[in-house]
Amino acid sequence: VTSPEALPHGVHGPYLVCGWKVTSAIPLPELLPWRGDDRQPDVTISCDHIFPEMRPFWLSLDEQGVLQMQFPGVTLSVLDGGRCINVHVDEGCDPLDVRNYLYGSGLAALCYRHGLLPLHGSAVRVGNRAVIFTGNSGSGKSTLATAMARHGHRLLCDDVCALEFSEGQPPVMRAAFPRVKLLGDAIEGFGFEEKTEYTESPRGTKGHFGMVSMYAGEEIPSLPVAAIYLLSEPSGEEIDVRPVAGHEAFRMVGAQVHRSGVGELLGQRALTFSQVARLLSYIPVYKLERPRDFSRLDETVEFIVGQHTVQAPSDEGFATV
Amino acid sequence: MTTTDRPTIERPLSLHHGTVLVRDSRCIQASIGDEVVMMDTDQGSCFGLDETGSFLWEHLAAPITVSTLVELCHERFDAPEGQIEADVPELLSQLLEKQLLKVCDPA
Repeated sequence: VTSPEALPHGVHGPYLVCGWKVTSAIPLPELLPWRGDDRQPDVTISCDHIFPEMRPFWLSLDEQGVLQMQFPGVTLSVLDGGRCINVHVDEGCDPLDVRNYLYGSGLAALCYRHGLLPLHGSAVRVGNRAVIFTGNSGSGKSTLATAMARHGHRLLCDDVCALEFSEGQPPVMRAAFPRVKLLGDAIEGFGFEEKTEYTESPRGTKGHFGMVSMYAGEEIPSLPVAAIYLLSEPSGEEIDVRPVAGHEAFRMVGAQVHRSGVGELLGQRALTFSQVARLLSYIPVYKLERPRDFSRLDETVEFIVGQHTVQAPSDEGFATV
Repeated sequence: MTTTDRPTIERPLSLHHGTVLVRDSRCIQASIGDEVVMMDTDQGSCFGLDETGSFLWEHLAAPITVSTLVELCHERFDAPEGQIEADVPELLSQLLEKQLLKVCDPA
């Protein structure tokens, strides 16, 4: 299966996103197909053409607990405690823009509603664990994650890393879907021009490159997290990592909580605080320096993989399971 | 968003040895390694404390006098003479100013 099949009555999917079974009134071709049981969907995405109630702020919560986010041409309403998202699309709005809002702010809102921490970042699988790249927009998270994916390290998500916390357990990352958003020079550098769709962003034109066809055969619900790398724009010549700990790590990782205003509005300030603290008490954080030169990206990939390569067991060692 | 109408609290301009302090209950905290991070849940502001601050914060879970905190710091840290006596009240004043601590009624 390379793409989810459309069901009758305009229902698309089901898809697998962060372990949820999702059906949608609009096609979401960047999402992986659901291969699990035939239970009712965990999340349903509906679409209407009735103008939603206008609210004075882009982000609001009404007395019924409906969270509404207004974007140019698109309004997302998260209802029923995160079991439903209603999408209102203005006439003429580009479907890719609609999906872009759903995949970013919509997914972050779902995370809050389901008790997950949405961290702004990209993640790949190294060994059998997730390595997260976080940092401000333009710091190269998606570019590095794509380079890792090209070396066989599966892309788990781009933009929103959904982290789950269970009592007494290390946090795990729930894989969202394999699509990257890259600026033009990275699209060109990777040679992705042909299969890329584009949207405009404040940082310039972004290319959307999906990898569903590469990954649809294997389902990854969640993975333990190996490390978080904090990225800033590449500047130097050398590749180097520096561990970051304590309140410095808290400040830097805390700044990357995605759409923190949504969590605040939902009264989850204290929960988010404790989740970030728990994340940092389990997961090492590193500041990563790397060369600016695109042609040296593979060296950074090798360096990171080297940091997480499991040592082969010695002769006297225990057999690994 | 809600705004906080917090009563204005009369605070001593300078702390004295016998002032009894305790963490404000609005404050939640977590330890990351040896350091403490905390949040004022009303305002959403987060603060980090270094090793000394974290040590003091640990002891501020229950009401404690400034002089006891100074003594505890002497037992825990090596510092030039007079430094602890100067630094501890200053840090406590900053925590009070940010309303992360409150002064207990001496009664």
